[in-house]
Amino acid sequence: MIFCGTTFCSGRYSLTPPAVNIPVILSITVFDGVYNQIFLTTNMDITIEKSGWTTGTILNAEFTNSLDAGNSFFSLANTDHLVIRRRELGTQKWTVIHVQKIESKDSFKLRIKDTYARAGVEYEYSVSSYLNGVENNYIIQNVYSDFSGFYITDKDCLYGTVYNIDNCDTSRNIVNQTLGLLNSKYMNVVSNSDLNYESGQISGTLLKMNDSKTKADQNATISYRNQFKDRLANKKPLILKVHDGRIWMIKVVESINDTSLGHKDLREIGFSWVEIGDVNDMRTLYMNGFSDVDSRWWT
Amino acid sequence: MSRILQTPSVHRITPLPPNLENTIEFSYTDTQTVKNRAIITDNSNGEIIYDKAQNTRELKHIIPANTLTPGKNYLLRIQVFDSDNNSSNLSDQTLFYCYSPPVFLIKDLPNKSVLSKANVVLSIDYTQSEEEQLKNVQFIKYSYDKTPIAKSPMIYTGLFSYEFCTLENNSTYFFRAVGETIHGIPLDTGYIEVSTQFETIPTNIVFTLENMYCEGYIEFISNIIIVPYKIENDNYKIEDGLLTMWDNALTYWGFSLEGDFALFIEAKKLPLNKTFFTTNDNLLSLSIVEVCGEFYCRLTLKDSDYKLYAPFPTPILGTDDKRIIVTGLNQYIELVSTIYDDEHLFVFELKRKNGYYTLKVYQRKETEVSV
Repeated sequence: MIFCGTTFCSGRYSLTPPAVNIPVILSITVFDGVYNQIFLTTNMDITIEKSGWTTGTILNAEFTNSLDAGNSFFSLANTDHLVIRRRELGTQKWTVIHVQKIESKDSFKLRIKDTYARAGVEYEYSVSSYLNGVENNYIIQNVYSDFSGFYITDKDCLYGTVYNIDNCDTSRNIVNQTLGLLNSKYMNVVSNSDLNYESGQISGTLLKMNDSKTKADQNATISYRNQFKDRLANKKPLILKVHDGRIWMIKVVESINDTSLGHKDLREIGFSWVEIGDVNDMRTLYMNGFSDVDSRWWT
Repeated sequence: MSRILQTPSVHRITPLPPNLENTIEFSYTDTQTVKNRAIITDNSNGEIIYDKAQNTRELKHIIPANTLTPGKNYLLRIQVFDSDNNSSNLSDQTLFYCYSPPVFLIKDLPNKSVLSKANVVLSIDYTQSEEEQLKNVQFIKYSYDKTPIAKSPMIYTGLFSYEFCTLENNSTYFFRAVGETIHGIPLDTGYIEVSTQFETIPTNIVFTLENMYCEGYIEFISNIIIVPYKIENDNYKIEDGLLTMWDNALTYWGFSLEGDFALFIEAKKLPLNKTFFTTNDNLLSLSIVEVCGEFYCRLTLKDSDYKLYAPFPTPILGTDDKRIIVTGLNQYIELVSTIYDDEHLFVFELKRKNGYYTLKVYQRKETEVSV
């Protein structure tokens, strides 16, 4: 009983609400009315004036233009495909690196390794939402790409090393024929081919260190070296990229050399290669098995 | 003149699945064979269930699919023939089993999952229709380039579980389990790719990019948080940042709140004596009610008499440009009101902390002006 604002005949804790069951909340529903905002969070220190996407926010519906309550303008209602693109800063042409079909909210969770980014370049990446083939939203961010050594990669693998890299000297190959004419002091050069490709050799020492990075792990090194040679020898196209920013789509030609450098852990693997396609062309990437992005998304 | 060819020798036969073609290989070093014959006997009753010859020069015999019955064991003998119609004796009997392909997976570790801790406990999900038992299992941890880093010991008994520790942050690993059943069925889960990410990306970041200098790639991680919703019908409009609904309901789901939470609903024009907010199964509900001429927001809990009332704030004096007038002692000038004010936006704040609920109704803080 409350009398004059105090509990007259009862104990000190008589007005304390009793402990209740803690039901698990799986959904919330609002009915008729005019709503400015619905905000749900596990952060008990927050106020509505500071509402927004922070630690603990579960949903924040501000009804600016839609019913969305997520942390971006992407939603299941406006997205059937999420498209991830990349381009070098300052250029115009985007390369689509991944297309994700959206079937549920978990489809928006992505983790992608872009192994075809070359060294020493600032890239822009964009995430776009598409609905029925029409782009309706996008976000762009930049990152500076850099690495040491050289790498060979395809859709399923990435092998490389930073040790004992040679200069990767290359040749630009063209085909022509010189003709000496009877009525000319000078030679004539005739070219009946469009061939214009790079070729070269590259070598390096592949090494695997132990967990504490204090010495070479012999068994892991041998295994890694064998996997590297297996990949070079399987006759499928590769992308080769080196630390100075050069990158090519290649195939390995001739033999793969495995030469001792005077220590049991140090062996140099070298191979020759020829360029087989344009590493920036989406059709070429798809046709050579480097990309799953089909013709609907080619630019 | 006919002669007897060298007797072939059948290689060890691992348990065969019943629903596929199975190839039996054998060794033989006499004249070129042109035909071989296989006889399969049911070991439980001696009945011959298969006796056929195949014309082939290869040292193998293909048993058609659905010849064998799973759960049984059989004895196999092979005989070969050359082009002069010479034949060998039947080989020694080789025992083999027929079992349905087992299911052998790493439990609760889907491919491309993200771990938030530096250790992972792997266990096996194994089933086999004829209850063929596991003999041994080994777990292997690989680095991002599938180089083996660590292996568990061979596990023969118990829960077939193992813990790998000291995973590094922002790294990719592969895990794999290999094993064998007691009758020799080889088991392999294949490579399961796993990434580690100990720190949580702030929720206001939609995606992150990181240059992995030592690994040679750019890592893209999306953090798009989607809250699925459903609206009953088209009786709604969104204008000037306000959602207006009539004869309608809007539901958000896709989360699971078990402990403390704070809910803020800023709204107006909410109907009297009618629920304007509820949760799944109507566990919690809010409504506007009138009690003794005053208006309250009421919290109701399902299957409970517990109710919580929060009064609407008393109207206070303000200016036309929405500034509040306070006295020299910083006090609001309150007015008496007996009507339900549904013209102004109010914030309905519902909190649950340690199982206790609090409910408040107020308006967003405006600028105060002293008079």
